[in-house]
Amino acid sequence: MRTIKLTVEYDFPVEEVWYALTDKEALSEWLMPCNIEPVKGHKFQFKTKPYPGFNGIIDCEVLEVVEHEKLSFSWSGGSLKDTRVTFILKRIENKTVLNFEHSGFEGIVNTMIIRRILANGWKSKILTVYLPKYLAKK
Amino acid sequence: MSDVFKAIADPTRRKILLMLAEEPNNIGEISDWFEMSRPAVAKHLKILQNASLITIDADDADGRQRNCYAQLEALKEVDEYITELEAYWKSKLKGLNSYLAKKSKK
Repeated sequence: MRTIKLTVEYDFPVEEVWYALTDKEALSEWLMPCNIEPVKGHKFQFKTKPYPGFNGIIDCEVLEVVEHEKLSFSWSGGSLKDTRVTFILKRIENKTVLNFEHSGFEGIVNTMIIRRILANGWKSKILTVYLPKYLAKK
Repeated sequence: MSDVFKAIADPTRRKILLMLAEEPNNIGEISDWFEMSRPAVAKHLKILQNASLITIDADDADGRQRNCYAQLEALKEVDEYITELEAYWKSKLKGLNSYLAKKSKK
């Protein structure tokens, strides 16, 4: 399954980039309104505009914090369930290289296949009972 | 009954379809996985293929294993969704740069 990987270089020191990632007001300003705290296990939410099929809320939990180096949190909302967002910072003199990753999309394949199968009117008892069972077992 | 209905009416074929939806695979691997004979698997695959739910690689002269692929629109949807999400992150991470620039001027 695909993973989103992006590398961006910032002309700013690691401390400033780290602050922008972990301070709730900073992160709310450049990404989305949220209440993050850089503490492992902290649960928080991003809130954005809802649209049909998405209530505008992304539930997250901080999974890993290494100050000035690594921030990772779970990301569940809309079609996404338990995906993982990771920021890794690398200091290069006065600059920062950010390695960004968003992974864990396995779940949406199943969600979308089932949605498609049901939408096509292929609904049957076997299908609705059997499929979830099979997927839960995996 | 339409071909598609017939094709997915069978639990083994639904399992095969879901398996291929996650990853293309060849007949040998599929028969190992389901502990079924190759002719039995080939019959199921033929039915799925006739219903346009999967495609199978054309025959190879050297007899290599032919891969089977799920042909679900759902897979395209997933791919499009992730592509959109990637564009979203790209633009946000660019925005982070503007944010940092604005901050450091203060």
